[in-house]
Amino acid sequence: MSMDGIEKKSLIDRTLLNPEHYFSSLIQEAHAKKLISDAEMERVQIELIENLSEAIKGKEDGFSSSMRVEAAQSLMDSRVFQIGLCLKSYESPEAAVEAIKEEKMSDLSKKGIAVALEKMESAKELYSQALKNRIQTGNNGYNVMMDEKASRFFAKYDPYFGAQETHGSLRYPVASVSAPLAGIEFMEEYLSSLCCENIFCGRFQGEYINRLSCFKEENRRFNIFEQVFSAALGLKLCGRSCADLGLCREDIKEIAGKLGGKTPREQAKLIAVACGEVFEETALNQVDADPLQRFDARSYIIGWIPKLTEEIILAAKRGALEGFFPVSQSVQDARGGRRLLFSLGKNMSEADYRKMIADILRCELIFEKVSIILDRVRSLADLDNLFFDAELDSNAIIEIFKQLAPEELAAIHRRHFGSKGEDIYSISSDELAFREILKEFIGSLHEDLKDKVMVAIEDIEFE
Amino acid sequence: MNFDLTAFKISDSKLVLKQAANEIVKLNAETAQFGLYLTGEQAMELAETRDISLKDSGRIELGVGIILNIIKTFCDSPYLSKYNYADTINELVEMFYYYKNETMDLISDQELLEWMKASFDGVCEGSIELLGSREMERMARNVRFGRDPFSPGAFEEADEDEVRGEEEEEDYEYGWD
Repeated sequence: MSMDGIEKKSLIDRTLLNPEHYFSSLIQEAHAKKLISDAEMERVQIELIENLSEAIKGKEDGFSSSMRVEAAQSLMDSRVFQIGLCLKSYESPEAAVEAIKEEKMSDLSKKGIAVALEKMESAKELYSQALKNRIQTGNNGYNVMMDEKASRFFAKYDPYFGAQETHGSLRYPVASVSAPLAGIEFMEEYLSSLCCENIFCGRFQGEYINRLSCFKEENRRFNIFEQVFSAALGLKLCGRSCADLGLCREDIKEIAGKLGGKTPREQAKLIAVACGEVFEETALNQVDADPLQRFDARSYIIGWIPKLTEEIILAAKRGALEGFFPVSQSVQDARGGRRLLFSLGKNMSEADYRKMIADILRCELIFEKVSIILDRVRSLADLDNLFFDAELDSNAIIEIFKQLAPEELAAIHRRHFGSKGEDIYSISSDELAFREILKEFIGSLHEDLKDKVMVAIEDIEFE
Repeated sequence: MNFDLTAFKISDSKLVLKQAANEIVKLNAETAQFGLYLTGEQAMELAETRDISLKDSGRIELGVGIILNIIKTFCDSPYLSKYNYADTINELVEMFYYYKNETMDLISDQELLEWMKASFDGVCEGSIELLGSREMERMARNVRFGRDPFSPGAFEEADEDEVRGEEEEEDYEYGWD
């Protein structure tokens, strides 16, 4: 009988091991499971101090016998990180624990440095790969990361005395990070994610990508791949080709219609089918994995799809799909034509605004509150702020809505529903309640008026 | 396991202090030729001073560290006698760590010690107060201003420059040419 399929039972639960602080979490778990005795723990600690002493000598090279605690802590963190790197290379946590018991900390640390150096070479190759496939875009976050931040990391990274350091934040976010990591491990993972994302985005012409509405603001921070994939997925949900990423607002309405009235399971199924179609049209199924197995675009995207699905279902539930899917500006312009330029106006002085809020809060009757607002507010910017600052209830808000022109209602709608790539988990309960009131109010309007508002919502652009 | 260095408290342990004190006492063999000698109690006190100074200055030092170097450097000073030896070394230890921070770790231990010794024996004529409040302060300030740390005139020059700068500013304010 074959025993190949039987996996040896592990005493240490891998899920409890922190990838960022591997050594400390492993030794704690091993100690808790009595795989390491108190005496061995003490030995490890003493050896680490000795090792630190050597490291200080090495770093200071006779210059100084003492150093600031922060600098010494950084050295200690570096040693601990190096040891963690080495221990991760063992086939099981138990084997790694045996290594802790049998080997000197200084030896494990040296092996860790060798791993860090290898990873650095691999990360450099990934970087050159990412540069080869880079997306041609005007997005500052992406370009700064590609041109400066990544190369600055390699210039500054010190696998000997600062192995755990990441050297500033890479402001450009990747879509999926599998686990919290530090130092060169983080960089390697980050660059392999970037390579996967670039491969997918490379399936589309740069001009189509740059026409997506999210690119209107050069400095906005967003992940390009997420936007491109969402646009492609949206088109597939509408049963169209995704080659030109030409999603428009009518398509988003169609998606809302298709997802509406379905259970989350049914919605997830629809999304999964559409994702499959995106894979097919972009020939992603035929992309070979990296020969050195450093990254695999297909697996990366498949691993990320559940998160995307969850976000779409939540956005559909909250009626915020328009903020989720990016539209193609060129297609929208060709379809819509008309543009409504809207100014939010100038805010009143802070003192006047505070006084007005205080006056409103003192009023007990709705009509008193509304009359103060109508009397003193001269800009939509102030009006939008006071909905929350003046703690207005739904009746007072509706009374104010009744005084507004369709274009003004549309502007408020766009301000509250129209932010692209919004983190839907971070919306406050007040904001959600306000959106609900607004949606209900617009829904209750006379058909003609409602149409005017809906048309204005689509055409409006803020100055 | 906690890898936070502040949690180790290694220098707190009596054993570590005692080891340091023993190392210090061993140096009596070298300093005896100058009539200088530390008792076990004084050596223990010195080790504690070092411990407190390190904590106060937010620094860490593994091993006995700088005390032995301070003793070796200063033991031939004409201004040290058996009456002030222990107190002076204690003060020097405190001063040393304080000014390592004040000089932003830009000066090596050896350079700093040699300069302290030269100043103590020279312009300070054995006054530990003058060394700490005037000479070391001047040197630290030179470092912070990016000047030659050990230049005796740099401090005065800096002051003159600043005064001149202030005067010019005043002239400008009142519109004088």
